Amino acid sequence: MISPMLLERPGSWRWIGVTLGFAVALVPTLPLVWRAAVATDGFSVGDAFVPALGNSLVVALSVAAIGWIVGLPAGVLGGLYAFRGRAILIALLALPALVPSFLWAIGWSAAALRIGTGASQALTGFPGTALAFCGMAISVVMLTSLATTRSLTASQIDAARIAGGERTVVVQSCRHGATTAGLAAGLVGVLTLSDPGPGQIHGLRTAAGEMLTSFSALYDFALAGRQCLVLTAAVLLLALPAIAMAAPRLSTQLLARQSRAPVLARNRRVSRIAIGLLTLLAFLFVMLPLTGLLLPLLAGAEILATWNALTRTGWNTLLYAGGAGLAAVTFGIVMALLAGRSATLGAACLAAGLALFLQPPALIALGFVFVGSDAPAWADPLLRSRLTVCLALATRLFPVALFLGMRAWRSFPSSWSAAAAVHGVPARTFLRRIVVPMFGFPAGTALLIVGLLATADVGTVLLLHPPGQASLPLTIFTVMANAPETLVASLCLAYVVAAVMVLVLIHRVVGRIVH
Amino acid sequence: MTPPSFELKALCQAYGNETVLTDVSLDLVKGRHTACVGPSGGGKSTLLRLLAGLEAPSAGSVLMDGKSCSEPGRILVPPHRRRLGMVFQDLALWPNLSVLDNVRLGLTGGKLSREESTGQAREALVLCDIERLANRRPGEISGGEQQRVALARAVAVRPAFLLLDEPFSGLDLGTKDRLLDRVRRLSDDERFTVMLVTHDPLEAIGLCEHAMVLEEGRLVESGPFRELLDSPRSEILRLFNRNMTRTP
Repeated sequence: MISPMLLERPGSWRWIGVTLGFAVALVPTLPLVWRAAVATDGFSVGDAFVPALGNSLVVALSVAAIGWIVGLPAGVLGGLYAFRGRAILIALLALPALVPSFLWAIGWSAAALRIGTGASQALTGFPGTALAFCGMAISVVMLTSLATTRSLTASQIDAARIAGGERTVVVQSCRHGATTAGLAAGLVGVLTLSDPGPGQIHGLRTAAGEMLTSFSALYDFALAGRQCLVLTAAVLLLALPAIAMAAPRLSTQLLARQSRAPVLARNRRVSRIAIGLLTLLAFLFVMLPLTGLLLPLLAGAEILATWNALTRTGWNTLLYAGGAGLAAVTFGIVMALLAGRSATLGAACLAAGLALFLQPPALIALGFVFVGSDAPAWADPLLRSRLTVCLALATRLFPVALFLGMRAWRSFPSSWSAAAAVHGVPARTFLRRIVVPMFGFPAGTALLIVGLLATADVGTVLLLHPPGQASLPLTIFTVMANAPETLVASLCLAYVVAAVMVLVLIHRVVGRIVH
Repeated sequence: MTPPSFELKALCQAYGNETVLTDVSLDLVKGRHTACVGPSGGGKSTLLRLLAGLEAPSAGSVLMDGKSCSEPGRILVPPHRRRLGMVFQDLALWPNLSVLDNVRLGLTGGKLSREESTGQAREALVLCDIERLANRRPGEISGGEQQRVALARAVAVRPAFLLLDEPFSGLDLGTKDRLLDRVRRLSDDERFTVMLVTHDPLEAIGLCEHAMVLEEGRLVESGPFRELLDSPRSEILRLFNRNMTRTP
């Protein structure tokens, strides 16, 4: 009989298991690196790529700075105080993190067009691109700060309140969450480097845009591969020092077990400020672009064409999202159990997971493309099918499930396994009766988040989907330049409604976890 | 079946560079309730985990009826074969299961049929006077009731030794007294021996006739509780005596 204490036992096998897990996740990138290493015709990335990379870096830095400055106080206020409409405002502000950035870019562009030529010109290039990403940055930083604030204990907050009132509570909470929020902002900044959408829509040449042109317009996969490697190097160069510095702190702040969760305080003055700030942000970064996105519907919705697109792509969209979610959750939770309760291994997993998550989606997708192009026909189900899309998406997104899994596992007392061992409960029964049901909610949340992120990842689907098996966001992305704006708006509406439904589901799931 | 007795021989436990227990030797005799007293961080819970077989010692051994059951780095007899029940400091109730299922899952090691395990679990609930809570979940009952569920789960296996790892800390005096009284009566009726780990000698004195004091991982003194209190060598018992004499 295998003892449940195995789940708690430390040992070098945990390090070996986790290292193997991450090594498996990196396998698809090897062909790309290998080809670049053995290339005989030099390492040219094209003349336009380097200036485009410069543009991308400026956008990334601006977005990170704005996200940090605005998202941190919003998250702290949302985490500390109870006020009218709190749940709705937070949910609204979470939307930009879950909907593809190119939809927000279309929204901003359309809104500016309605306002006038001046506004439209003002948004062309850098400002529009940065603005489209800002919603996502503020959203992620706000949610991270909210989680960090909620990880403070009630007594810590009370101590600050006794020391200097609400002002001290807010200031100390901001200081507590500043590093984590800064890291989250930095990570979003890095993520923007790999996202071609907003730059393409607002006419700014970015590194990701150049890469997209290389493989989707020039069909030069070797050039795209080299550009992808340079982008990966830039991402690692920017992200690794920050991750290495902040991972231990993140590990204790976000994965820590709470002693007594703080109760949301009621304070009329601060609540007014919180409502004002969150409403302003929701209006600027959600409602305004959303209005621009959906305004063409006033001229009439293309119901039939939208229905046709939905029936053609709906199943694939669900399959890619669900398949990626299932694979990522399974792999992520196994990795979380392997990481166990060791603080060092937890921090290492967090750092490696973040580094993997930040990689350009094309790095893994192009790896699959290269392997698939040389593979025999019998490998098609694995390397040239819809399963390939799911696997590629799950490979990059499993750190989300790993993170939630580690957080869940550390919130379970180790005495549960000890009690099971004392009573002779076999590990299998303990897993089936206790661990799996207790992992149900975090796994469900991870499934939904990974599903949404997978749906928003247009690049991977574009590179790997079998002919005729596109997803809904990819269809919007490919038709947005040529199709009538009423059709684009109708498709966008369908997507946003689906995203909101998933958001409501997440809210319910998280609500049950808290309960 | 004759109840076992345990012998701890020169036990040491270290986690990395941190030594938690150093050279602890003692006998746990059947029928003699023993308290393990000492300040927080003194190694009491570690000693209990070594005795239960939840951890293997770094050095020394644990013997059950004269046969080795734990050796350095190896657990020879798994916890559920040591005829032990254990109540954990945080109770370790599984929150997704009902009270009855918590107790019934605790009987898995006994290889009983479903009917038998349900019957035995219900008996334990009756013994602890919580049969009315059978279908409730741990989160839906009070702290005192949760303590009794943990106790029921431990006694349901009909243990020879009941290990209590500070389960009463944080309870009010009345609830604590009632629970200790219940443990005392259960131990008489069900004939098990108690090993109570606590940092509060007052909690132990009403239940245990024998005591051992652990300070900074070392066994400072052991023997009949009253004798130890008469001429204490350990800091904790000296303080306890001083405070008791001050009481008006």
